[in-house]
Amino acid sequence: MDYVEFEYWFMRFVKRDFNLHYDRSRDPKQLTFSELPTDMLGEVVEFLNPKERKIARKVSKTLCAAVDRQKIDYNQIEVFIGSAEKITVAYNKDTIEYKGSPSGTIIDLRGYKKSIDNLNYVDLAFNDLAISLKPSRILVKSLRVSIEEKSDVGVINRFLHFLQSIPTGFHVKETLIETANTTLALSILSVLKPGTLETIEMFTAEGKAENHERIVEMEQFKQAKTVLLRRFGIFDPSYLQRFNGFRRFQLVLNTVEPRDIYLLRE
Amino acid sequence: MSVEPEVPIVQVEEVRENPVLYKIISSDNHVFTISEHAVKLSKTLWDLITNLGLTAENALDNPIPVENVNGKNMETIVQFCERHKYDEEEPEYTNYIREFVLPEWDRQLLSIDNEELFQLILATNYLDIQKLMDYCCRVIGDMAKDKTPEELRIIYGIPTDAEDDALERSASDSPGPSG
Repeated sequence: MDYVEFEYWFMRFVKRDFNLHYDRSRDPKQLTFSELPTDMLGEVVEFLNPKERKIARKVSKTLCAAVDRQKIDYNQIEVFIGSAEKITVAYNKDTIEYKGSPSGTIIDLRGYKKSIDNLNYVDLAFNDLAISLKPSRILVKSLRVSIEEKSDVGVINRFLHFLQSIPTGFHVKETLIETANTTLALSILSVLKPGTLETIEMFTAEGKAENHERIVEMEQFKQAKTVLLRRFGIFDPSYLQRFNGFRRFQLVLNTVEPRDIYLLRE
Repeated sequence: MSVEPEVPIVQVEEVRENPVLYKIISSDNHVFTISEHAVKLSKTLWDLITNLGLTAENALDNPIPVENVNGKNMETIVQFCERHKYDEEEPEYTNYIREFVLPEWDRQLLSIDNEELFQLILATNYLDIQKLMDYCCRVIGDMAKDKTPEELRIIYGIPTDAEDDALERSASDSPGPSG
């Protein structure tokens, strides 16, 4: 007797119907979960958290498609790439830590540790992230990316490649990018969908003039409402007018001419 | 049009506050009485009532046939609508996961086997009762808590992709009605 059959009889007994000779063949054709219209499967998926959705994707093609079709709005995703073979990803504060070990990977999920042999921690972390970001209509309210200064270049490049491979673009409303490498920070910023992105906050460690030129030319910058650049270097006054689109800005300039002030006021 | 009920009328609740009552006939000819406030929870039924021009005076003389919903499901639906007819409208959810407390009364009402629950969902969808749809989907979603993919397959009665493909193949290999 399979579970469905068991459940049928169990519910009959609960309702105090003890007729064991009841002929089920007289019942109308059984309706199964997979036969529910797709929008209803979508409604069921709405009640599942990210972890349950990942599990549901593995059940069948139908359910996988239902999960992927579902719009997901994450309040917060945080990615920390550490220098000591460690990647931490937090989905709405639900943190998963992937740590490299001699045999493979150790996953730490809120204190519950699990060792996975023969699988690389980078593969696992980015695969889980890819699954979480798979749905076609995904919006992340806040994305924080922190990359430690001495992190493995290979891991960073894979992360960048992963971000660039998101087919519909990465829809994020606010972002905080923390990395010593400004060029890398701008590369991460470039994959975020312009227009959706309202707030950009970057904490970098170097302020090269070429990066100033690059950021003011980016659509993400032009269409943002708030931009906060820390330790981005001293801007040349020629960029002053590029900030005209913002309601308020605060900049450190190397020199300032009365002409610049006049232009700004205009 | 007047349809003679084959089975006694099921009077779900005596309505004192609102004297306007409507009669609904399920696909298997069970007759249900439902109050105006309760029937408004079903967009389909309320649109039908409005379009048919039913009023307090002629409502009971003009039963509404609902051919897509059987008596068993209609009884659950009428009970649900009567129970929730004075509920305040809930704010639209904005989080990525829907969360609300499922009242114990509703959990009891929806303690039915999966097959019945799926049938009820189809009926609810047809009658367009959003709140009941939410509750049914929540009950199905709750079954997925702390389960592995294999357990979910068993609980929901979902075949594996390989089994599904095999079924599809055998269906396409089998001769059609003409051959």
